[in-house]
Amino acid sequence: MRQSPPGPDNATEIAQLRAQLKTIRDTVGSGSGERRDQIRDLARRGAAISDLRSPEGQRFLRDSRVLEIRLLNDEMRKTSDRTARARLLEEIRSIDAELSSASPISTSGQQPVQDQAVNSSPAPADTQSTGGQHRSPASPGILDGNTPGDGLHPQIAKLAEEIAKRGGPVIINSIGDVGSKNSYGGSSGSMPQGPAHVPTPPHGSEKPHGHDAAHTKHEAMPQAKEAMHGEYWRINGLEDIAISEANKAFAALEAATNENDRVQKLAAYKTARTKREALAQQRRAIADQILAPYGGREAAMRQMAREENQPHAGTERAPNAPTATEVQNALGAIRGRTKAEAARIVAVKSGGSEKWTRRFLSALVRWPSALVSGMATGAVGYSFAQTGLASGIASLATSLGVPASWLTAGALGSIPATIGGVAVPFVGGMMLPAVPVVAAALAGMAVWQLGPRKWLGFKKLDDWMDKGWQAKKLYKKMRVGDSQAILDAKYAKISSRPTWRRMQTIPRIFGALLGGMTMHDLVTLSKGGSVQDLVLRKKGLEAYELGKRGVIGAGNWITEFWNNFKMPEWFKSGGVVEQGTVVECKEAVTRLKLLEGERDSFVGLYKDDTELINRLNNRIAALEEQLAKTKEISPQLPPVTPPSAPTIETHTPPSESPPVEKAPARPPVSEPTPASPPIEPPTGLRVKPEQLSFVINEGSDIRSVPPGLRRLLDSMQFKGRAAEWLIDTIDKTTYNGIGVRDGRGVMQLLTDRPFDPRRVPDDTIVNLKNYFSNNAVMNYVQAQIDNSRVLTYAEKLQVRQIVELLEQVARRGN
Amino acid sequence: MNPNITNRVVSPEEVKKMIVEALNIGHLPVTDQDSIIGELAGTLMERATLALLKEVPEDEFDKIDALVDAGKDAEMVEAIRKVVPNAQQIMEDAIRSGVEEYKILVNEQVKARLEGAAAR
Repeated sequence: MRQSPPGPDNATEIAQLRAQLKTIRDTVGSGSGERRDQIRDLARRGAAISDLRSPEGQRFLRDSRVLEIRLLNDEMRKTSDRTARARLLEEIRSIDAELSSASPISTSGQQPVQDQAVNSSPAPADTQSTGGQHRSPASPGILDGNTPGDGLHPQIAKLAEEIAKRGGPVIINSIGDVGSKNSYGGSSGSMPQGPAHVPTPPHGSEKPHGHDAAHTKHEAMPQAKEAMHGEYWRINGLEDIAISEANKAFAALEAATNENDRVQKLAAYKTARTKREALAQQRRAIADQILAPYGGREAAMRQMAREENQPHAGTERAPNAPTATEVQNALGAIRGRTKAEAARIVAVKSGGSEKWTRRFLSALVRWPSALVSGMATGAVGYSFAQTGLASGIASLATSLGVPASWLTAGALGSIPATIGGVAVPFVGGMMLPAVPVVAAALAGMAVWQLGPRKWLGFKKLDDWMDKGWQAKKLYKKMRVGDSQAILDAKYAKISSRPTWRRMQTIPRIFGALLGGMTMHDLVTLSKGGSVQDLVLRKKGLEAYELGKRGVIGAGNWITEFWNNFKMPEWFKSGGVVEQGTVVECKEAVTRLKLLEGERDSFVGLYKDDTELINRLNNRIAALEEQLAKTKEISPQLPPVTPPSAPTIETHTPPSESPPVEKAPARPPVSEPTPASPPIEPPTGLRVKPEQLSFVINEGSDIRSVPPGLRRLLDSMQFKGRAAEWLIDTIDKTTYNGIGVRDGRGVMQLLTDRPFDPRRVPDDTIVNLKNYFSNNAVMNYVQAQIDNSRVLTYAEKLQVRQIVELLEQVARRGN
Repeated sequence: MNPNITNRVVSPEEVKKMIVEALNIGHLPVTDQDSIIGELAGTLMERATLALLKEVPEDEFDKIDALVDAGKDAEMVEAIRKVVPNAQQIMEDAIRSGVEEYKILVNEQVKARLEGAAAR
């Protein structure tokens, strides 16, 4: 490609862009590591650019805007506030429009640059090696090649115009390679690189995103092959758009309020999905061609997976060294147990007294940093200025044999600076005289960010700040350590109820806690408005009162609930509503959750228990009738009966291990035990467990999971809307990754490396077993089942049966 | 105790290296290592705090709370030490047990993987 001639001084423009980056960094500096890396990469690139007109400069211009979109999109994902989302969306659209706008090139009366490359065939060989780009007949001398609707970045167009005025032929890289129209909404979430930029190094910040390994295995290539790469990226961009549209269609489907609407939305979604799948197929076919020298796409992906798991920086990975997935699973389990323990202590310490609960929660929120740094390091003097992370590292190092007193503040302070980008201004263990105030502020922010805020799930609080007086009031209460507000914040994270509604649930939560439930159960409970309102409202408060005397059996209030309310037979026949253990209680809760999908029809309307009971009974009658009809019209679906096989939830550490608190949360390791009952598929499913094992262990790339699941479900004769819904739900975890939703997580758990949308999903070898034995995925799927407004309660039960069965099979291994 | 550690200030790099070795994650990318250390450290901190708070008598909460409110962290720590003399030991034990628990969990998974591979 010919370089454009050097232009006038563009230092000012570069400075502006750098300022823009700084703004982004300041605004979203606490974002995910991935984004931070992208920002740093971009900043590095920006610093190295001397001429914005160079291809690198043009890429920089574009990527800075794309990154901005992605950061805004990150923010949008984080917030549930509609106003804030609308504002962010508007900003995104504005930038997107800027990126997509096809500025007219005024030179010599040329026509506006139009997309001329909208076709699926590779570009002709005379296209100046720009990969699928055409010389636009409307603008001689200027090459453009974009996805439909895309155009030139105005700045690039302006530069092109200037260069054209000087008489030079202009070659402009495509800016629409990844579908800038919707690139922010796609699944991949990375900065795109244009088709003209291949090849790129296999590792490093310049690696383009993609669904295949196509971008990683090539050196300089002939024009024809380069054109093929261009086509790959073009299809890739279109696919990103299609994924985004399919996601939107699915969201619309979920939000549909009536049956007619659902039918329409479902049809729209299916169309979008079909389009997406067709594009994926196209892209894979091209990838196969590109990767033919490497044994085809599948082989290349496996090779990549192997390479990704190779030891880092020359270190050897011993066979018994844990993978990142295994480490993350262990971390997740420890976190879960810690939270469960926290919940237990809250219940025990409070002794039924709200006062002490409040005190205790206040302590939990406010003490960790000072306490741990002071205690674990034995250095009280600088405890206040320590970050939570530094404290934790100090604790960890201490436990590993580093003498506490030798861990200076300098050491502690700079570790988090190196590992988390959190700077603590210490010099040789002494704070500079002028620094204390700044240090305290930084430490406070860091503690909040890294410690209790993250731990107790307060991120939502930030969103609430946009909600007016309620949020302000809540935040004020938070600041003074009000336990009510703390719990509000915590449970608001998992509840979709309006704030005032969430606040009503708090006494019930307390009641359940004191009634013997665990935090895990509470999390489950709080997802279900019906459960909160139907059970906790009445019995939780009683439990709370009784809890003061320390007498509450976990199953008691459930039993009373059962006796007091008319419940359908299938609920009773489950045998779960018995006095007894927490596990039974959990089972009961699981059943109750099935009603959640119907909650909006009655929750919030009642004024007293009588009205509530009447409404519930009426609703249950309607549901039973609906269930009966479902049975009649869907004989191929499994009958609605509670799952026959109990959940496998045992984890016993070796006897020589130190005592480990029993965790009610789902353990990461669930192994078969001799006493485990045989796995029985739900009645009506025509499949044997061996068959399930076979199918579920069938390894392939991550994108084959949905079709693999479809085959599996087909073999089980499980079809229809519920089956489609399940496939879609699992599908979402493959295309979007739950990690995207949670900031990080599932994808990271599923792979042997950190979640990176540029590389995940395609180059990861997974199988259904990975999915159905993964706690995070199962929790996600369960939540989706719970929260679905598409499924009827009968369908929810069916899906739950299937998922539980698959989970059992997967967890039992081969 | 690490024999390489003598009576001197431990550099962050050394501390990190020790942790990485102890957790057996040296083969993972640096970003992974950092993330794992950060997560584990945070969780251990919480465990340690919980372990300590379990020992703090409830009738001390008002006093300690007041010190927290006043920003008198050093005094607060001293107050806790007074009522829980072995506070440091409790916290260190909690952290050690957390590390051990982590190792057990990881090793179980590694073992399961190796056994699975052998079976195949």
